[in-house]
Amino acid sequence: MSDRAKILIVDDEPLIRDALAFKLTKDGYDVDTAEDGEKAILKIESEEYQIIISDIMMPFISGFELVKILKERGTDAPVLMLTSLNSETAVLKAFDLGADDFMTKPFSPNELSVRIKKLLKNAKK
Amino acid sequence: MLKFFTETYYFLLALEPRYKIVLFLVIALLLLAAIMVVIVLRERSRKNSVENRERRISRNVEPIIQEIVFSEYDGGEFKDAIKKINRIVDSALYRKSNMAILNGLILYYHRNLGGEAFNRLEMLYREIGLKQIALDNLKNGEWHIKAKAINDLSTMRMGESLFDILQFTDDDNQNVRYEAQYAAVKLGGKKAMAFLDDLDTPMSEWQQIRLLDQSLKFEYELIDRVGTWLRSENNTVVVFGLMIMRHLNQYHEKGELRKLLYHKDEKVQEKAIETARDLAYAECLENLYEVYELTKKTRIKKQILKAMGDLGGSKEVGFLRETIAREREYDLVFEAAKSLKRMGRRDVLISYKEQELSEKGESIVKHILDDRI
Repeated sequence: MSDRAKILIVDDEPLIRDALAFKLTKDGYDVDTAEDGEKAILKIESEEYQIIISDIMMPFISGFELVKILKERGTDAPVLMLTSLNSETAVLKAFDLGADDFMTKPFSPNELSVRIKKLLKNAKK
Repeated sequence: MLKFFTETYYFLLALEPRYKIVLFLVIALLLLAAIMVVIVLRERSRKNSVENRERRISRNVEPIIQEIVFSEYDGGEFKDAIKKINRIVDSALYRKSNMAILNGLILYYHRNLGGEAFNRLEMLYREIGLKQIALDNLKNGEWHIKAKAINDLSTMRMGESLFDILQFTDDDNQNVRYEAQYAAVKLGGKKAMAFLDDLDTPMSEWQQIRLLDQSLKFEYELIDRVGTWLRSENNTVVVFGLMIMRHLNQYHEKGELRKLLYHKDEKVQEKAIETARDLAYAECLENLYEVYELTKKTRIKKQILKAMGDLGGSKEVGFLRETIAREREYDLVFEAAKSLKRMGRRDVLISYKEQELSEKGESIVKHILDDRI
Protein backbone atom coordinates (compact mmCIF):
# COMPACT_ATOMS: atom_id res chain seq x y z
CA MET A 1 0.00 0.00 0.00
CA SER A 2 1.25 3.48 -0.88
CA ASP A 3 2.28 5.95 1.84
CA ARG A 4 0.65 8.77 -0.01
CA ALA A 5 -2.52 10.19 1.53
CA LYS A 6 -5.65 9.25 -0.35
CA ILE A 7 -8.16 11.97 -1.17
CA LEU A 8 -11.72 11.64 -2.44
CA ILE A 9 -13.13 14.51 -4.51
CA VAL A 10 -16.92 14.66 -4.69
CA ASP A 11 -18.27 17.15 -7.23
CA ASP A 12 -20.89 16.92 -9.96
CA GLU A 13 -18.93 19.28 -12.23
CA PRO A 14 -16.53 17.15 -14.28
CA LEU A 15 -14.21 20.06 -15.07
CA ILE A 16 -13.78 20.92 -11.40
CA ARG A 17 -13.32 17.26 -10.52
CA ASP A 18 -10.65 16.81 -13.18
CA ALA A 19 -8.86 20.04 -12.33
CA LEU A 20 -8.75 19.20 -8.63
CA ALA A 21 -7.61 15.66 -9.34
CA PHE A 22 -4.84 17.02 -11.56
CA LYS A 23 -3.68 19.53 -8.96
CA LEU A 24 -3.75 17.12 -6.02
CA THR A 25 -2.05 14.34 -7.96
CA LYS A 26 0.65 16.86 -8.82
CA ASP A 27 0.90 17.67 -5.11
CA GLY A 28 1.65 14.00 -4.45
CA TYR A 29 -1.65 12.56 -3.29
CA ASP A 30 -3.59 9.52 -4.47
CA VAL A 31 -6.82 10.94 -5.81
CA ASP A 32 -10.17 9.34 -6.40
CA THR A 33 -13.33 11.07 -7.64
CA ALA A 34 -17.08 10.67 -7.33
CA GLU A 35 -19.76 12.62 -9.16
CA ASP A 36 -22.40 12.66 -6.41
CA GLY A 37 -22.98 11.82 -2.76
CA GLU A 38 -24.34 8.34 -3.45
CA LYS A 39 -21.28 7.24 -5.40
CA ALA A 40 -19.07 8.85 -2.76
CA ILE A 41 -20.66 6.74 -0.01
CA LEU A 42 -20.12 3.56 -2.04
CA LYS A 43 -16.45 4.47 -2.48
CA ILE A 44 -15.98 5.36 1.17
CA GLU A 45 -17.46 1.99 2.17
CA SER A 46 -14.89 0.14 0.11
CA GLU A 47 -11.82 2.39 0.46
CA GLU A 48 -10.17 4.35 3.21
CA TYR A 49 -9.58 8.03 2.53
CA GLN A 50 -7.55 10.50 4.56
CA ILE A 51 -9.49 13.53 3.31
CA ILE A 52 -12.81 14.06 1.56
CA ILE A 53 -13.37 17.21 -0.49
CA SER A 54 -17.02 17.72 -1.27
CA ASP A 55 -19.22 20.18 -3.11
CA ILE A 56 -22.56 21.03 -1.48
CA MET A 57 -25.07 21.30 -4.30
CA MET A 58 -25.11 17.86 -5.93
CA PRO A 59 -27.79 15.51 -7.25
CA PHE A 60 -29.26 12.67 -5.12
CA ILE A 61 -27.32 13.36 -1.91
CA SER A 62 -26.16 16.90 -1.19
CA GLY A 63 -22.82 17.73 0.42
CA PHE A 64 -24.60 18.54 3.69
CA GLU A 65 -26.31 15.15 3.75
CA LEU A 66 -23.04 13.46 2.84
CA VAL A 67 -21.21 15.02 5.83
CA LYS A 68 -24.08 14.11 8.11
CA ILE A 69 -24.08 10.48 6.96
CA LEU A 70 -20.29 10.22 7.24
CA LYS A 71 -20.22 11.65 10.75
CA GLU A 72 -23.11 9.42 11.86
CA ARG A 73 -21.17 6.41 10.59
CA GLY A 74 -18.14 7.59 12.47
CA THR A 75 -15.89 8.17 9.44
CA ASP A 76 -12.63 9.66 10.69
CA ALA A 77 -11.56 11.36 7.48
CA PRO A 78 -11.81 15.15 7.70
CA VAL A 79 -14.26 16.72 5.27
CA LEU A 80 -13.49 19.95 3.42
CA MET A 81 -16.49 21.60 1.82
CA LEU A 82 -15.74 23.36 -1.47
CA THR A 83 -18.74 25.22 -2.79
CA SER A 84 -20.14 28.23 -4.60
CA LEU A 85 -22.47 28.83 -1.64
CA ASN A 86 -20.84 31.56 0.38
CA SER A 87 -23.58 32.52 2.78
CA GLU A 88 -23.00 32.54 6.50
CA THR A 89 -25.87 30.07 6.88
CA ALA A 90 -24.13 27.54 4.61
CA VAL A 91 -20.84 27.85 6.52
CA LEU A 92 -22.54 27.46 9.90
CA LYS A 93 -24.61 24.52 8.71
CA ALA A 94 -21.55 22.78 7.27
CA PHE A 95 -19.55 23.10 10.50
CA ASP A 96 -22.60 22.23 12.56
CA LEU A 97 -22.98 18.96 10.64
CA GLY A 98 -19.35 18.10 11.24
CA ALA A 99 -17.38 19.53 8.29
CA ASP A 100 -13.74 20.27 9.17
CA ASP A 101 -13.07 23.10 6.74
CA PHE A 102 -14.93 25.27 4.27
CA MET A 103 -13.80 27.01 1.07
CA THR A 104 -15.82 28.95 -1.46
CA LYS A 105 -15.50 29.00 -5.23
CA PRO A 106 -13.70 30.70 -6.88
CA PHE A 107 -10.94 29.12 -4.82
CA SER A 108 -7.18 29.38 -4.93
CA PRO A 109 -5.66 25.97 -5.70
CA ASN A 110 -2.57 26.88 -3.66
CA GLU A 111 -4.69 27.77 -0.65
CA LEU A 112 -6.50 24.47 -1.02
CA SER A 113 -3.16 22.64 -0.94
CA VAL A 114 -2.19 24.40 2.29
CA ARG A 115 -5.51 23.62 3.92
CA ILE A 116 -5.23 19.95 2.94
CA LYS A 117 -1.76 19.75 4.49
CA LYS A 118 -3.10 21.34 7.66
CA LEU A 119 -6.06 18.94 7.83
CA LEU A 120 -3.76 15.95 7.34
CA LYS A 121 -1.42 17.22 10.05
CA ASN A 122 -4.33 17.69 12.47
CA ALA A 123 -5.72 14.26 11.63
CA LYS A 124 -2.42 12.60 12.51
CA LYS A 125 -2.32 14.15 16.01
CA MET B 1 -42.10 -3.77 -65.65
CA LEU B 2 -43.69 -1.45 -68.18
CA LYS B 3 -46.79 -3.60 -68.04
CA PHE B 4 -46.96 -3.21 -64.25
CA PHE B 5 -46.78 0.59 -64.45
CA THR B 6 -49.31 0.73 -67.29
CA GLU B 7 -51.75 -1.46 -65.34
CA THR B 8 -51.28 0.61 -62.19
CA TYR B 9 -51.83 3.82 -64.17
CA TYR B 10 -55.09 2.54 -65.68
CA PHE B 11 -56.17 1.18 -62.32
CA LEU B 12 -55.65 4.59 -60.70
CA LEU B 13 -57.35 6.31 -63.61
CA ALA B 14 -60.38 4.11 -63.17
CA LEU B 15 -60.72 4.90 -59.46
CA GLU B 16 -63.54 7.07 -58.15
CA PRO B 17 -62.44 10.68 -57.48
CA ARG B 18 -62.79 10.33 -53.66
CA TYR B 19 -60.40 7.33 -53.64
CA LYS B 20 -57.98 9.29 -55.81
CA ILE B 21 -57.96 12.11 -53.23
CA VAL B 22 -57.39 9.68 -50.35
CA LEU B 23 -54.58 7.96 -52.22
CA PHE B 24 -52.97 11.28 -53.07
CA LEU B 25 -53.11 12.36 -49.43
CA VAL B 26 -51.58 9.08 -48.23
CA ILE B 27 -48.68 9.37 -50.70
CA ALA B 28 -48.14 13.04 -49.78
CA LEU B 29 -48.07 12.22 -46.07
CA LEU B 30 -45.65 9.34 -46.62
CA LEU B 31 -43.36 11.62 -48.59
CA LEU B 32 -43.55 14.31 -45.91
CA ALA B 33 -42.75 11.76 -43.21
CA ALA B 34 -39.76 10.52 -45.20
CA ILE B 35 -38.48 14.08 -45.62
CA MET B 36 -38.90 14.73 -41.87
CA VAL B 37 -37.02 11.54 -40.98
CA VAL B 38 -34.14 12.57 -43.26
CA ILE B 39 -34.03 16.06 -41.71
CA VAL B 40 -34.06 14.67 -38.14
CA LEU B 41 -31.35 12.14 -38.93
CA ARG B 42 -29.16 14.77 -40.60
CA GLU B 43 -29.66 17.17 -37.69
CA ARG B 44 -28.87 14.44 -35.17
CA SER B 45 -25.75 13.42 -37.04
CA ARG B 46 -24.63 17.08 -37.27
CA LYS B 47 -25.24 17.53 -33.54
CA ASN B 48 -23.37 14.33 -32.76
CA SER B 49 -20.43 15.44 -34.83
CA VAL B 50 -20.38 18.85 -33.09
CA GLU B 51 -20.57 17.18 -29.67
CA ASN B 52 -17.84 14.72 -30.61
CA ARG B 53 -15.64 17.55 -31.78
CA GLU B 54 -16.35 19.50 -28.57
CA ARG B 55 -15.50 16.46 -26.46
CA ARG B 56 -12.34 15.78 -28.44
CA ILE B 57 -11.12 19.34 -28.14
CA SER B 58 -11.97 19.56 -24.44
CA ARG B 59 -10.26 16.22 -23.80
CA ASN B 60 -7.10 17.36 -25.55
CA VAL B 61 -7.00 20.94 -24.33
CA GLU B 62 -8.02 20.40 -20.68
CA PRO B 63 -4.74 18.75 -19.56
CA ILE B 64 -2.73 21.55 -21.18
CA ILE B 65 -4.80 24.24 -19.48
CA GLN B 66 -4.51 22.39 -16.16
CA GLU B 67 -0.75 22.15 -16.65
CA ILE B 68 -0.55 25.90 -17.31
CA VAL B 69 -2.79 26.78 -14.38
CA PHE B 70 -1.29 24.49 -11.77
CA SER B 71 2.40 24.43 -12.72
CA GLU B 72 5.21 26.91 -12.35
CA TYR B 73 5.68 27.50 -16.08
CA ASP B 74 8.46 29.73 -17.38
CA GLY B 75 8.03 31.86 -20.52
CA GLY B 76 9.32 29.19 -22.91
CA GLU B 77 7.11 26.43 -21.53
CA PHE B 78 4.12 28.74 -21.61
CA LYS B 79 4.72 29.50 -25.31
CA ASP B 80 5.09 25.79 -26.09
CA ALA B 81 1.78 25.08 -24.35
CA ILE B 82 0.08 27.78 -26.40
CA LYS B 83 1.49 26.29 -29.59
CA LYS B 84 0.10 22.90 -28.56
CA ILE B 85 -3.36 24.36 -27.95
CA ASN B 86 -3.23 26.21 -31.28
CA ARG B 87 -2.42 22.97 -33.06
CA ILE B 88 -5.45 21.29 -31.47
CA VAL B 89 -7.94 24.03 -32.28
CA ASP B 90 -6.51 24.79 -35.72
CA SER B 91 -8.86 23.79 -38.52
CA ALA B 92 -9.75 25.39 -41.83
CA LEU B 93 -13.46 24.75 -41.31
CA TYR B 94 -13.99 24.78 -37.57
CA ARG B 95 -11.43 27.17 -36.09
CA LYS B 96 -14.12 29.65 -35.06
CA SER B 97 -16.24 27.11 -33.19
CA ASN B 98 -13.12 25.43 -31.77
CA MET B 99 -12.04 28.76 -30.34
CA ALA B 100 -15.53 29.18 -28.88
CA ILE B 101 -15.13 25.82 -27.09
CA LEU B 102 -11.74 26.92 -25.78
CA ASN B 103 -13.23 30.23 -24.69
CA GLY B 104 -15.96 28.39 -22.74
CA LEU B 105 -13.38 26.22 -21.00
CA ILE B 106 -11.15 29.11 -19.94
CA LEU B 107 -14.12 31.15 -18.70
CA TYR B 108 -15.38 28.17 -16.72
CA TYR B 109 -12.03 27.69 -14.98
CA HIS B 110 -11.78 31.43 -14.40
CA ARG B 111 -15.17 31.51 -12.66
CA ASN B 112 -14.13 28.69 -10.31
CA LEU B 113 -10.46 29.32 -9.62
CA GLY B 114 -8.79 32.15 -7.76
CA GLY B 115 -5.32 33.25 -6.72
CA GLU B 116 -2.38 32.65 -9.03
CA ALA B 117 -4.43 30.27 -11.22
CA PHE B 118 -6.79 33.17 -11.92
CA ASN B 119 -3.94 35.36 -13.22
CA ARG B 120 -2.53 32.57 -15.37
CA LEU B 121 -5.90 32.01 -17.00
CA GLU B 122 -6.07 35.70 -17.86
CA MET B 123 -2.63 35.54 -19.41
CA LEU B 124 -3.64 32.47 -21.39
CA TYR B 125 -6.82 34.22 -22.59
CA ARG B 126 -4.73 37.09 -23.95
CA GLU B 127 -1.91 35.02 -25.45
CA ILE B 128 -4.07 32.45 -27.17
CA GLY B 129 -5.91 35.21 -29.05
CA LEU B 130 -9.32 34.96 -27.38
CA LYS B 131 -9.17 38.58 -26.30
CA GLN B 132 -8.58 39.66 -29.89
CA ILE B 133 -11.50 37.50 -31.07
CA ALA B 134 -13.76 39.18 -28.50
CA LEU B 135 -12.60 42.62 -29.67
CA ASP B 136 -13.24 41.66 -33.31
CA ASN B 137 -16.71 40.43 -32.35
CA LEU B 138 -17.37 43.83 -30.81
CA LYS B 139 -16.78 45.48 -34.16
CA ASN B 140 -18.48 43.01 -36.47
CA GLY B 141 -20.92 40.95 -34.49
CA GLU B 142 -24.68 40.97 -34.11
CA TRP B 143 -26.04 42.27 -30.82
CA HIS B 144 -25.85 38.92 -28.99
CA ILE B 145 -22.27 38.36 -30.18
CA LYS B 146 -21.32 41.86 -29.02
CA ALA B 147 -23.01 41.38 -25.63
CA LYS B 148 -21.23 38.04 -25.15
CA ALA B 149 -17.88 39.56 -26.16
CA ILE B 150 -18.29 42.39 -23.64
CA ASN B 151 -19.30 39.93 -20.94
CA ASP B 152 -16.28 37.73 -21.67
CA LEU B 153 -13.87 40.68 -21.63
CA SER B 154 -15.17 41.89 -18.29
CA THR B 155 -15.26 38.38 -16.78
CA MET B 156 -11.64 37.89 -17.84
CA ARG B 157 -10.77 41.35 -16.43
CA MET B 158 -9.29 42.65 -19.69
CA GLY B 159 -8.84 46.19 -18.36
CA GLU B 160 -7.02 47.31 -21.49
CA SER B 161 -10.27 46.77 -23.47
CA LEU B 162 -12.09 49.41 -21.44
CA PHE B 163 -11.92 52.07 -24.16
CA ASP B 164 -13.43 49.68 -26.72
CA ILE B 165 -16.20 48.72 -24.31
CA LEU B 166 -17.04 52.32 -23.40
CA GLN B 167 -18.14 52.91 -27.02
CA PHE B 168 -21.18 50.72 -26.35
CA THR B 169 -22.48 52.16 -23.07
CA ASP B 170 -25.23 54.09 -24.92
CA ASP B 171 -25.78 51.52 -27.68
CA ASP B 172 -29.20 51.22 -29.31
CA ASN B 173 -29.46 47.63 -28.20
CA GLN B 174 -30.41 47.36 -24.54
CA ASN B 175 -28.50 44.11 -23.88
CA VAL B 176 -25.31 45.43 -25.45
CA ARG B 177 -25.38 48.70 -23.54
CA TYR B 178 -26.25 47.05 -20.23
CA GLU B 179 -23.32 44.65 -20.57
CA ALA B 180 -21.05 47.52 -21.60
CA GLN B 181 -22.14 49.68 -18.64
CA TYR B 182 -21.56 46.82 -16.20
CA ALA B 183 -18.19 45.99 -17.76
CA ALA B 184 -17.16 49.66 -17.66
CA VAL B 185 -17.78 49.92 -13.91
CA LYS B 186 -16.14 46.54 -13.28
CA LEU B 187 -13.02 47.26 -15.32
CA GLY B 188 -12.67 51.02 -15.00
CA GLY B 189 -13.98 51.76 -11.53
CA LYS B 190 -15.48 55.12 -10.67
CA LYS B 191 -13.62 57.00 -13.42
CA ALA B 192 -15.28 54.86 -16.08
CA MET B 193 -18.66 55.81 -14.63
CA ALA B 194 -18.29 59.09 -16.52
CA PHE B 195 -20.41 57.46 -19.22
CA LEU B 196 -23.41 58.27 -17.01
CA ASP B 197 -22.78 62.02 -17.46
CA ASP B 198 -24.42 62.05 -20.86
CA LEU B 199 -26.32 58.80 -20.99
CA ASP B 200 -29.52 59.27 -23.04
CA THR B 201 -31.02 55.81 -22.78
CA PRO B 202 -32.94 54.72 -19.67
CA MET B 203 -31.59 52.15 -17.20
CA SER B 204 -33.89 49.51 -15.77
CA GLU B 205 -34.07 49.10 -12.01
CA TRP B 206 -32.25 45.77 -12.30
CA GLN B 207 -29.44 47.43 -14.24
CA GLN B 208 -29.18 50.13 -11.57
CA ILE B 209 -28.87 47.43 -8.92
CA ARG B 210 -26.15 45.63 -10.94
CA LEU B 211 -24.17 48.85 -11.28
CA LEU B 212 -24.69 49.70 -7.64
CA ASP B 213 -23.45 46.25 -6.67
CA GLN B 214 -20.24 46.87 -8.63
CA SER B 215 -19.94 50.40 -7.19
CA LEU B 216 -20.09 49.12 -3.61
CA LYS B 217 -16.43 48.13 -3.95
CA PHE B 218 -15.56 51.87 -3.93
CA GLU B 219 -16.79 51.80 -0.32
CA TYR B 220 -16.89 55.35 0.97
CA GLU B 221 -14.55 57.03 -1.51
CA LEU B 222 -15.68 60.41 -2.78
CA ILE B 223 -17.44 60.10 -6.13
CA ASP B 224 -17.28 63.63 -7.48
CA ARG B 225 -19.50 62.99 -10.51
CA VAL B 226 -22.61 62.41 -8.37
CA GLY B 227 -23.61 66.08 -8.77
CA THR B 228 -23.59 65.77 -12.58
CA TRP B 229 -25.78 62.70 -12.39
CA LEU B 230 -28.24 64.41 -10.06
CA ARG B 231 -28.57 67.21 -12.65
CA SER B 232 -29.06 64.77 -15.55
CA GLU B 233 -32.01 65.04 -17.93
CA ASN B 234 -32.23 61.25 -17.76
CA ASN B 235 -34.38 60.44 -14.73
CA THR B 236 -32.97 56.93 -14.38
CA VAL B 237 -29.48 58.42 -14.07
CA VAL B 238 -30.79 60.80 -11.38
CA VAL B 239 -32.30 57.87 -9.47
CA PHE B 240 -29.02 55.95 -9.79
CA GLY B 241 -27.11 59.02 -8.54
CA LEU B 242 -29.40 59.09 -5.52
CA MET B 243 -28.78 55.38 -4.91
CA ILE B 244 -25.02 55.99 -5.00
CA MET B 245 -25.40 58.94 -2.65
CA ARG B 246 -27.44 56.88 -0.23
CA HIS B 247 -25.48 53.63 -0.26
CA LEU B 248 -21.99 55.14 -0.42
CA ASN B 249 -22.68 58.05 1.93
CA GLN B 250 -21.93 60.82 -0.58
CA TYR B 251 -22.83 63.83 1.56
CA HIS B 252 -21.18 66.45 -0.63
CA GLU B 253 -24.13 67.05 -2.98
CA LYS B 254 -26.79 67.97 -0.44
CA GLY B 255 -27.66 71.17 -2.35
CA GLU B 256 -28.61 69.14 -5.42
CA LEU B 257 -30.52 66.70 -3.24
CA ARG B 258 -32.57 69.56 -1.80
CA LYS B 259 -33.56 70.65 -5.34
CA LEU B 260 -34.60 67.12 -6.25
CA LEU B 261 -37.20 67.14 -3.48
CA TYR B 262 -39.25 69.32 -5.86
CA HIS B 263 -38.55 67.21 -8.98
CA LYS B 264 -41.50 66.75 -11.33
CA ASP B 265 -40.93 63.00 -11.67
CA GLU B 266 -42.59 61.10 -8.83
CA LYS B 267 -39.98 58.34 -8.75
CA VAL B 268 -37.11 60.82 -8.49
CA GLN B 269 -38.92 62.82 -5.82
CA GLU B 270 -39.63 59.69 -3.78
CA LYS B 271 -35.99 58.52 -4.03
CA ALA B 272 -34.77 62.01 -3.08
CA ILE B 273 -36.86 61.97 0.11
CA GLU B 274 -35.65 58.46 0.95
CA THR B 275 -32.05 59.58 0.41
CA ALA B 276 -32.48 62.67 2.60
CA ARG B 277 -33.90 60.42 5.30
CA ASP B 278 -31.08 57.88 5.05
CA LEU B 279 -28.40 60.56 5.09
CA ALA B 280 -30.06 62.19 8.14
CA TYR B 281 -30.37 65.46 6.22
CA ALA B 282 -32.47 67.30 8.81
CA GLU B 283 -31.79 70.71 7.20
CA CYS B 284 -34.25 69.82 4.44
CA LEU B 285 -37.23 69.50 6.80
CA GLU B 286 -38.49 72.99 5.84
CA ASN B 287 -38.46 71.91 2.18
CA LEU B 288 -40.37 68.78 3.08
CA TYR B 289 -43.19 70.88 4.62
CA GLU B 290 -43.39 72.83 1.36
CA VAL B 291 -43.41 69.70 -0.78
CA TYR B 292 -46.13 68.20 1.44
CA GLU B 293 -48.35 71.17 0.73
CA LEU B 294 -47.52 71.29 -2.99
CA THR B 295 -47.93 67.63 -3.88
CA LYS B 296 -51.14 65.71 -4.35
CA LYS B 297 -49.42 62.35 -4.55
CA THR B 298 -50.06 60.05 -1.58
CA ARG B 299 -46.79 58.13 -2.07
CA ILE B 300 -44.78 61.33 -1.76
CA LYS B 301 -46.74 62.51 1.27
CA LYS B 302 -46.19 59.13 2.94
CA GLN B 303 -42.44 59.36 2.34
CA ILE B 304 -42.40 62.86 3.85
CA LEU B 305 -44.25 61.71 6.97
CA LYS B 306 -41.83 58.82 7.26
CA ALA B 307 -38.85 61.19 6.89
CA MET B 308 -40.30 63.47 9.57
CA GLY B 309 -40.47 60.51 11.92
CA ASP B 310 -36.75 59.88 11.42
CA LEU B 311 -35.39 63.42 11.12
CA GLY B 312 -37.87 65.52 13.06
CA GLY B 313 -38.04 67.11 16.51
CA SER B 314 -40.83 68.69 18.56
CA LYS B 315 -42.10 70.81 15.65
CA GLU B 316 -42.61 67.68 13.54
CA VAL B 317 -44.36 65.95 16.47
CA GLY B 318 -46.95 68.71 16.31
CA PHE B 319 -47.26 68.37 12.53
CA LEU B 320 -47.68 64.61 12.69
CA ARG B 321 -50.31 64.89 15.44
CA GLU B 322 -52.19 67.42 13.36
CA THR B 323 -51.94 65.14 10.34
CA ILE B 324 -53.68 62.36 12.26
CA ALA B 325 -56.51 64.72 13.11
CA ARG B 326 -57.02 66.46 9.79
CA GLU B 327 -55.99 64.06 7.02
CA ARG B 328 -58.78 62.07 5.42
CA GLU B 329 -56.60 59.47 3.73
CA TYR B 330 -56.14 56.33 5.79
CA ASP B 331 -52.56 55.74 4.52
CA LEU B 332 -51.39 59.19 5.62
CA VAL B 333 -52.95 58.97 9.07
CA PHE B 334 -51.42 55.54 9.51
CA GLU B 335 -47.97 56.75 8.40
CA ALA B 336 -48.12 59.78 10.71
CA ALA B 337 -49.04 57.57 13.68
CA LYS B 338 -46.23 55.14 12.84
CA SER B 339 -43.75 58.02 12.66
CA LEU B 340 -44.81 59.27 16.08
CA LYS B 341 -44.35 55.80 17.49
CA ARG B 342 -40.90 55.58 15.88
CA MET B 343 -40.00 58.91 17.49
CA GLY B 344 -40.83 57.38 20.85
CA ARG B 345 -43.81 59.70 21.31
CA ARG B 346 -46.34 57.20 22.58
CA ASP B 347 -47.46 59.93 25.00
CA VAL B 348 -48.71 62.03 22.08
CA LEU B 349 -50.57 59.06 20.63
CA ILE B 350 -52.12 58.18 24.00
CA SER B 351 -53.27 61.73 24.66
CA TYR B 352 -54.72 61.85 21.14
CA LYS B 353 -56.67 58.68 21.84
CA GLU B 354 -57.97 60.04 25.12
CA GLN B 355 -59.14 63.30 23.54
CA GLU B 356 -61.11 61.37 20.88
CA LEU B 357 -60.40 63.93 18.16
CA SER B 358 -61.53 61.77 15.26
CA GLU B 359 -63.01 58.31 15.08
CA LYS B 360 -60.77 57.11 12.25
CA GLY B 361 -57.66 58.62 13.83
CA GLU B 362 -58.53 56.99 17.12
CA SER B 363 -58.85 53.49 15.69
CA ILE B 364 -55.57 53.86 13.82
CA VAL B 365 -53.78 55.13 16.91
CA LYS B 366 -55.21 52.22 18.90
CA HIS B 367 -53.87 49.87 16.27
CA ILE B 368 -50.41 51.49 16.24
CA LEU B 369 -50.15 51.45 20.04
CA ASP B 370 -50.88 47.74 20.13
CA ASP B 371 -47.39 46.19 20.31
CA ARG B 372 -48.70 42.75 19.41
CA ILE B 373 -49.36 43.96 15.84
